[in-house]
Amino acid sequence: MKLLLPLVIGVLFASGTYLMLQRNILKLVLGLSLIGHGANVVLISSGWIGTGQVPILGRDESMPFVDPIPQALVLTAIVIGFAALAFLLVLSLRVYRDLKTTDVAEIKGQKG
Amino acid sequence: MTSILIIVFFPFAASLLLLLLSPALQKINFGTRLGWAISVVPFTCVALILSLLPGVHAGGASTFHIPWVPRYGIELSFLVDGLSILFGLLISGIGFLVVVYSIWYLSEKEDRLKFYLYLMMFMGAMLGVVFSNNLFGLFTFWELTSVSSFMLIGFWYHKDVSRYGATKALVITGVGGIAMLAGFIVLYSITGTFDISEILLMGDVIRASDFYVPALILIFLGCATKSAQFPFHVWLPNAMEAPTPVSAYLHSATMVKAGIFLVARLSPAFSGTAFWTGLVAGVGLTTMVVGGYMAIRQTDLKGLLAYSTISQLGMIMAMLGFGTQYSAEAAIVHIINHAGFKAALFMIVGIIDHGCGTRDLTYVGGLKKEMPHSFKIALVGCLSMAGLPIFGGFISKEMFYESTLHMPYSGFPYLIPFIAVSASIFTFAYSFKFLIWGFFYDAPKSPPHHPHEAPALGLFSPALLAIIVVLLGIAPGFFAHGVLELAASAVSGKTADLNLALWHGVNTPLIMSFFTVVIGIFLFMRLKKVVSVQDKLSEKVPWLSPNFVYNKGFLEGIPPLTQACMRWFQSGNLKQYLSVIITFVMLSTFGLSISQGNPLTFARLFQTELNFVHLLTFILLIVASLATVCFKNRISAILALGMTGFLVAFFYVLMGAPDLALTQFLVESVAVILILLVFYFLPPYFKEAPPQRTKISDISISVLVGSVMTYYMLMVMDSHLTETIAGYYLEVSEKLAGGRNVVNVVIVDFRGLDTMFEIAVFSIAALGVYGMLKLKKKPKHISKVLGSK
Repeated sequence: MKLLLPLVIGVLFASGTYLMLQRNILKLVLGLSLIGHGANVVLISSGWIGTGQVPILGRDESMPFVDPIPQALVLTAIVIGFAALAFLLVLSLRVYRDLKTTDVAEIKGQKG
Repeated sequence: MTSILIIVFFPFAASLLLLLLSPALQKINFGTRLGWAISVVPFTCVALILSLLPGVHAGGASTFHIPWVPRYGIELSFLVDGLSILFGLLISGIGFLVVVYSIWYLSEKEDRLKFYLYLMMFMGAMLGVVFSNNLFGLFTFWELTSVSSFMLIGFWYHKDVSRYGATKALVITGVGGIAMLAGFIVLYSITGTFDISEILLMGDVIRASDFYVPALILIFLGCATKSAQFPFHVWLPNAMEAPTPVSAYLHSATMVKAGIFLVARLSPAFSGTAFWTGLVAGVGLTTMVVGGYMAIRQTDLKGLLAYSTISQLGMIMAMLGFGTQYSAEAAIVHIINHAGFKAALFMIVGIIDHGCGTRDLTYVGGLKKEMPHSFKIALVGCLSMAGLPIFGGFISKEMFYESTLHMPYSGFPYLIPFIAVSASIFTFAYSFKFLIWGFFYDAPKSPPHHPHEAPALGLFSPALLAIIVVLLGIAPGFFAHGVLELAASAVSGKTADLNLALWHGVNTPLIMSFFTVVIGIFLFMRLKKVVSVQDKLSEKVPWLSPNFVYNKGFLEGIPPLTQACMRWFQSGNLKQYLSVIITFVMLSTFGLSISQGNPLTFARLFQTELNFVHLLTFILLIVASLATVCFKNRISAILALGMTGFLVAFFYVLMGAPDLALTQFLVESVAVILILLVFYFLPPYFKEAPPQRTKISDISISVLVGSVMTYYMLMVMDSHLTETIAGYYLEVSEKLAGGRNVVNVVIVDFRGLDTMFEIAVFSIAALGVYGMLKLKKKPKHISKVLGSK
């Protein structure tokens, strides 16, 4: 089971990278979003201890808790990631309005 | 010891004061008074340095420290010994004379304020170089001398040649300076200290080190560029575009001796090996011959003196390279001799230039009648330079000959004395060319102005120098016991005992001198023919000159190269940037972790049992993320992305993170709506149709990233769990913060500041979004960019 999780992370990063390498600015946004997911999953998985209890106190204290710190970090990351996504989306909207293109290469004034 | 601080920083303070007061000073007509006021600075320095001398006589070297970056051993630290006092006296003494001379030299029209500002900056920097006891301090002052030299060479910046000369000097000495800095760091890796007085005691350690040769070569590059050694000498003749007081001061007496100084300073640490002698003496002798060969060709008097300076610097360098105690003494004696006669001669050229409107020997000649006083001074200077008795130059040339006879590590016992004599024949010839052509022979053409003698103020400095040159010849003991012995001891590391005298009896050096004079006279008689042969030679093989390399290779070669690099690295192509950055980061970190990390054991990876829900989530995640990539329809792609997000949220549930799952569900829903909303305003996917090659490279980069991340994750999960700080939070969460949901407590309480900044980031993003949506006006430059498409 543990062998499959690294593969999932690898696929998330690979797909994100591939999308980011495309010339369409929209694909770039989607790719960034995928890589964000990948990074969050990496953080959470590093705290994985197989079976563990949700880190909420006051109930059955016999089982070990899941590490709460990666969770706190990822919670922040999700929200920041959303802010970045919104910003990028509107940026690409603005770019299209002003430059009438969604091609990253064309924005710079060159093809290819 | 505070006097050492005053010595180094008084000139800087004067320079700064001039800068601050310049708006006020420019309004008043200060005339020559400014120069007189400035002359107080070098005069004070001379007096203060002389006051340090008795202490050095009595107790040897002393140091003075002010910590700067103590952790790395970088400090402002000064070393007062014979060598630094000798150079300090040269710098401040000639500095004083140059300032006095410049009062006459600089006319009303020149920007005197700027001149003295730069000159004082240079003087402070140069004093800093010679008194520094820390390699970093020395380097800082060293670079400052390059900068001030750049300013002074380009003083008449409206002239092309001035700018060319200034740039050339800065480029060549700057590159050397960087090499020197690298050398200092290599030296630090050997000795573990930047303190020069400590380094000087570690000579045996340094010479035995594997890094001895690289350190020596790098530091010597700095010295050779600064002291205009072959093949880096080409900047010095072009530096003659500076006003003549500057040429006399920086480019003959002091700054070009900084390299000599450093070689002398580090002699106890580096000298005494065959490599040292081969490098330093080899470069020095080559420079001496090349400089002499070039000097006899010149018709411009300043050019002649410039090449002569190069040749003489080479001679001093060679003597330091021999590495014997005697040669060190000879070098020290010649440093002061050369500074004296060369500065005097430069000042005479300035007077000739003023009096005739030119300094070219084609127009200038037979000045003996019109300029009787200048002639006397030039006579003393030239005879000393030619190495004729009763002048100081004779003594140091005899010492030079003597030291060539006893140099170590020479496979050919007659070769070095032979080279020395040949170079000195050139010296003799160009000295007489200066003297005879300038003051006796009539020039082929007449000068722009009728020549006239300078007033007493202009003659004062060169005359005083000429007197010193004579004294150096007839009463050398006074200087020797005063400071030269101390300086020579600092270079050789042994107590020096200088017995300087004009007459040593008939010995080998005297016979060598005899031949020098005879052949020198012969060469001088045939000078015109020799020069015409030289001219033909340089016409036929222009690439022999290092100038050719600088002009064609550097000035014309570097810009296209940098432009090509710029076009390649700064193409503006986002995809290329990403590819390069990603590939580099992945390969380098992967290589590092392979070489240093523990190999995978897979011991812990098979521990957990098969769980159907986990398996299904993972497989769906893989499918969804691949679908995001593969869908040609953008709505489908967005939905696939949303699907990925929701699956990640479900994954959080499985990982025991309900808060994350909740947030992710919420954010993903909003995100999908937002993306759909924005895409509504945007055109559909355009057909990219990338060439097959691009597609393959995209895929391989992506696969590389994926595999490396997979590998890292395997490493993480394979490694042994260590105790985390989670235990602490679990324990105190309820006690300190009164909350049971530990994740929430961490977010709002323990790491509350983080969360606050997160909110700030969110607000900034919101502001940006609002601005981008609301700002209607299309900025002008954007349409321009489009137009260039």
